[in-house]
Amino acid sequence: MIILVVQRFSQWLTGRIKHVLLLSLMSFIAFQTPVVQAKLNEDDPALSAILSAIHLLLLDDTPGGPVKLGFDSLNSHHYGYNYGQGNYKDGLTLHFDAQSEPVTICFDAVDVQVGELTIELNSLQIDVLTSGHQCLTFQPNETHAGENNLTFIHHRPGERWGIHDILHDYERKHWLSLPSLTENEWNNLAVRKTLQVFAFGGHATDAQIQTWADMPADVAIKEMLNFEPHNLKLSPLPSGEKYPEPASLDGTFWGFRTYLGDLNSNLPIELHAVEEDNYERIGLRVDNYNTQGAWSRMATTRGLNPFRQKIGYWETNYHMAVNLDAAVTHRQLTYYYDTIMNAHEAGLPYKTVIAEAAKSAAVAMQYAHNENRWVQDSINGGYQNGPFICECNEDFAREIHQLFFGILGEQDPLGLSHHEDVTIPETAKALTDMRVDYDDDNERLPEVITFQTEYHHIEQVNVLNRMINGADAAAKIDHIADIAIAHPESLATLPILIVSGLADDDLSVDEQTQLRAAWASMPSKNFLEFVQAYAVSKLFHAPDRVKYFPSIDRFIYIANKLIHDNTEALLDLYDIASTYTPDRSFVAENVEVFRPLHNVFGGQTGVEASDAPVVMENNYNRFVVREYKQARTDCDDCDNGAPWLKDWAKIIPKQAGVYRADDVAQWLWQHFVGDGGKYYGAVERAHLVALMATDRDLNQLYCVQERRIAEGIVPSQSDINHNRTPLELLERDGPNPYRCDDELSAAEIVLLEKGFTTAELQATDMAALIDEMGNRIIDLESVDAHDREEANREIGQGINFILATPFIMAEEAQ
Amino acid sequence: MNRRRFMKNAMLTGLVYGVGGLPTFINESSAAFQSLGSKRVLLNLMLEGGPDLRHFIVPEYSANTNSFGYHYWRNRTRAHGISNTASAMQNHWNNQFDHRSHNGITFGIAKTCGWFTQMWDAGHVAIINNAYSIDSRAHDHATLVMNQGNRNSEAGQLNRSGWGGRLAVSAGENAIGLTHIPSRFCFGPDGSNINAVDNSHLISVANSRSIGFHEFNHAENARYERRQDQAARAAKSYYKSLHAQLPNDSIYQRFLEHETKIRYFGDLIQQRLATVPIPPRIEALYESNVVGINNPSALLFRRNFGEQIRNAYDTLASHDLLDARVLSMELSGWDTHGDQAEDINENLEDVFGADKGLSALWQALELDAGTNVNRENLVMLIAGEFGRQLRDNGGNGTDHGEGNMMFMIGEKVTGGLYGDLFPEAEIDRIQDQDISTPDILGLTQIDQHFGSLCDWVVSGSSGVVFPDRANAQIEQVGMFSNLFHV
Repeated sequence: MIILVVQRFSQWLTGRIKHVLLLSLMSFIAFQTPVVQAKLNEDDPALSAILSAIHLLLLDDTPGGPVKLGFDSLNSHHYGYNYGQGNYKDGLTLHFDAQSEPVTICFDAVDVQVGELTIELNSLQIDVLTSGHQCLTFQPNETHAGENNLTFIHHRPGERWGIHDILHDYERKHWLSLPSLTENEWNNLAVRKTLQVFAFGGHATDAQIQTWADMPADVAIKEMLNFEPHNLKLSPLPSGEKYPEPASLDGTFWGFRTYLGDLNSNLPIELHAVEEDNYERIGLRVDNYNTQGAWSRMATTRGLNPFRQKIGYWETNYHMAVNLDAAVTHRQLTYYYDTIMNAHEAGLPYKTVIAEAAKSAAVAMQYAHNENRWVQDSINGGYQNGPFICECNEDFAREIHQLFFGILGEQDPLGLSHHEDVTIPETAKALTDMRVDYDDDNERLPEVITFQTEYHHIEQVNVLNRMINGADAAAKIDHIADIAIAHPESLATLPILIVSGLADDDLSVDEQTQLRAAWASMPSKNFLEFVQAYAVSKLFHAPDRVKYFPSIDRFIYIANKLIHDNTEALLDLYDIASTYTPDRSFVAENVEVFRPLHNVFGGQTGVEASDAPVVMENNYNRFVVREYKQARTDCDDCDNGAPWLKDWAKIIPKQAGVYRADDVAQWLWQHFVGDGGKYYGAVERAHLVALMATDRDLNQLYCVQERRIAEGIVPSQSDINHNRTPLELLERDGPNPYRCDDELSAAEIVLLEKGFTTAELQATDMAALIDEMGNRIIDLESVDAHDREEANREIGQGINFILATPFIMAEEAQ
Repeated sequence: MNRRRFMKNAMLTGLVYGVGGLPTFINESSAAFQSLGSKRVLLNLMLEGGPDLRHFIVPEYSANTNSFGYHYWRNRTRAHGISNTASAMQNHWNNQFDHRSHNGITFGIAKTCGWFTQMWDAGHVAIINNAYSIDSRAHDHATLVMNQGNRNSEAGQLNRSGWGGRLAVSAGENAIGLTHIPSRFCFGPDGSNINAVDNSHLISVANSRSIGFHEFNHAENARYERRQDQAARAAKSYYKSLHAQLPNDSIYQRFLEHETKIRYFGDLIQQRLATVPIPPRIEALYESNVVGINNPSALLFRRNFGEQIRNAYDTLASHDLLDARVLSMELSGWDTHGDQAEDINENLEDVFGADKGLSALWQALELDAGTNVNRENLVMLIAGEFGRQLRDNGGNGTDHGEGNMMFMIGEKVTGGLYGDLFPEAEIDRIQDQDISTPDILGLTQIDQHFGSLCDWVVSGSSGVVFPDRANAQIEQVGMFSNLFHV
């Protein structure tokens, strides 16, 4: 309409007068709205229309030409009419080259009304254009050999429209031979699933998740999953963050522990801790006892990289596990963690990452091969003058093959006994004179090994049927790594170990075959690329994939979903890593970070957690008995002497300017369960809106309702006069003869424990009641502080309900 | 309808809930410790890590260089933490072991394992020698085979039934996991397919004294605002709904099955145990300052094992409610590559010491004889996944080997040695420096003696529990024909 008015007005004007007037108008608008230029391509229709009109009148009407699309290359330009660059008033033609496999052309369309544009492929209409992200798929037999034309024909000249971010690519792309998701399949839910499994849920905003969903998967995944110490898209600082230092300080485990333990650091340390000589804070230092607490904070603190922590945790607690209950010191473990992750960050081949781990003091202390020596026998030949022998243990000599590289020796061409009797003892010889001698000056064990040759078996050794050379143990470990990474058993085992450990508890034989092929396709095994390729593959997003969460993964995931900022993370407000509360989370489920349940064989697996009823029982009771933890709303002085207030309004989006219980319930379900609403139905909705919109649970309300009906109680005149709704009648404390909370009858108990069917909840009375609850506004933005606190507490109660469901115990693909 | 069938139906229909649903069983559960009657029960204790059982049952030291005892001690001084002298070895043999002879073979039992010695002297211990499952010395693979009782299982083949589960199912009863995570030993077969899992016959009793969900307490009449009660009602109601609406093939069904069992058996166990106090001797295994126990050394080094002993006692007290036929315990920490003397002695004492783990359980059952517990029908099986090498290593420990001893203990066990305790052939192998990793040769595979045990627990069960028994190796045919005396 605005465009038409301006157009008609302009017809009455001529030449210089028209230009002067319009230039004045443009200057006025630009002066009044300094952000106009920046918003030029945004969707403010009124402003856009005015600017479009100016554009129309001032610039020439020469149509824009066709656009040639590159293959597998994102065209991020903006095309359209009154939108972006060029003038495509009548439409736009894209040229693209045919391929031998099905292709997609994906783009985002803006301000397109129904019927406004049609789409033709080589002059044949194939579709109509709609707003939003979309992809068109073309089979080889639908395109011409050579160049093809995809044309958007605009049927409403003068109206604004546009498209941007155009990508021409294979429909079924492969990355490391794994079939990737198509652009259509890579969506918001796929992004959430990826973060849930590979990054403890991550800390990304809803907007960032959607941005990634709108990007090509192979581009998005590199932003999501990388080993930088800080990934501010995956873990952004919230607006107004009081403790932003983690986003810029040393992001290694060592660096983070230094920050936590430094009494000069800006931290929300609790007052009582100062009075107690900063006991807890000092405990977080690299030398001290609370390594688990430091790591848990690192995985939940904003400004770092939860994917890096996920992999660091997996490497050090599962794949190449060491145990603080062995002789490993906290300092050695911290250094070990960083050794592995720095090697990953540097993009080193996986054999080198493993070799670096194998050369660490932590591993040497764990397996005690720091005592291994090649010496003259003191038994059969008298004191140190007999034949040379390996005064060794074979522990790591076995496990470097089995656990680090996945080689059991079962495919040894000379038989398993050859592996047992030759490879393992010979490896033990290779692992000699790796010293971790006590540092008297600093009064501690060092975090690095000193490789010596005095007691080293200098000669070559026969390992995996290859002769291994090296002047010392470090050199021999490097050589073993070169051989082991290419060993057939390792090629078969390592990719399965990685994927089953991180993401899939039910790999089929076919999926295993594909993963092995992908791993084998990399001349130099790159862990990150393998994980990235898998994370956007059809294997990871296959409907039958399932990942049961180990207890620690579940706790960290839940914490990341509960926590909004670094005050909450650093204080461990949800008692994830607390070392002193009797019901602390990890201990209650018999798990501890860096004290793996199966020692070097790793921590509790997801399958084990799912097999253990006590884990499910503990989770359930945690969110019922200790509901107050998740519903916690404030503290008086925990934040460095200042109070802390929970404010879910910081991250829950408003709909139409308010927080309707229905909208909040749906958002919370997606936030915590992340299933795209698959399991969010009438029953879930009813319980959630009852808990959040009333001070009651659904069964209590239902009980009161049924008792009133049974007793024939009707609204009083006062109720009628006050227009009390059915829900308000149930909520009244008095005069209400049936509150279902005092001297309960057997009938009332049955009602209070009733399980509802969807049909029952959709019956007229219940449906109206639930609708009324769903339409209530949760007062997160009340001017009254008490009301805000109550609103946050009620949301906490809704969260408790969600977290007690089985859907928090495991994750399945879309 | 017995509880097992009731449970099966209830799990299908989602009926096992709330008041009024289980009056018969709740009444039953109010009774005290119930007799085993004629029912025989297996208590399986898996020693994870490859225990060096030659460390606590040892040959007599001898200065004769042709003797087994000479070579054993000459190659084991570091693992025993003694110096490499004849006098040290002789003194260690003299002072640290109780000496016994059987069929002309003299051996010593570590003095820290007093209960084991008592049971041996009573003729209740069968020592099965040179036993093994498969020739793998990899922990995870050998453990898997031991738990599954399936020599055909390859590394990583997790989805197969356990032999304890098969044994329980063969009796139409249940396997009870007493550990935090139920052992795969307890996993039941899927029908007649032993290579698939159906856990409907598995009950987990990880903490017998607190099992169960927090419930809204009807009697307290708490006000509706009480948030714990709100949460409890909402969660309970919701799970009822889920039972009705969640697809049968959903990955979340296993959690609903857990919920059903915890709610149902949790109630039963708690009501039964309300009349069954924890025997102080058992409580003292994992708690300090137990009234009536003045011995501060009663505490185990690994308290979790003490809690498993309590779970075992409580499960036996409730065996009738649980239809318990097989009980499963585990103790890790046996992988003694280094400093063996210190680590293994703690574990051995926890398990076999007088008044320690198994001893406390055994005594408690005897003390409860007045409540009709029938200890005669309980058999304990104690074994690890593999053995260790004949020579100790440079780290004062021992490395992985193949064969090992395994123990069966019970009043109906025919005590004695089964297989050669100290094979003379080992003398040559231990001296041959070309053999870099000499170990105890495995001569008898688990199917053989485990099968005999199965037949005693459930008559005729070995055929379904160990269907490949006929192909399993045995040191001497017929050696287990009198393993039990009826």
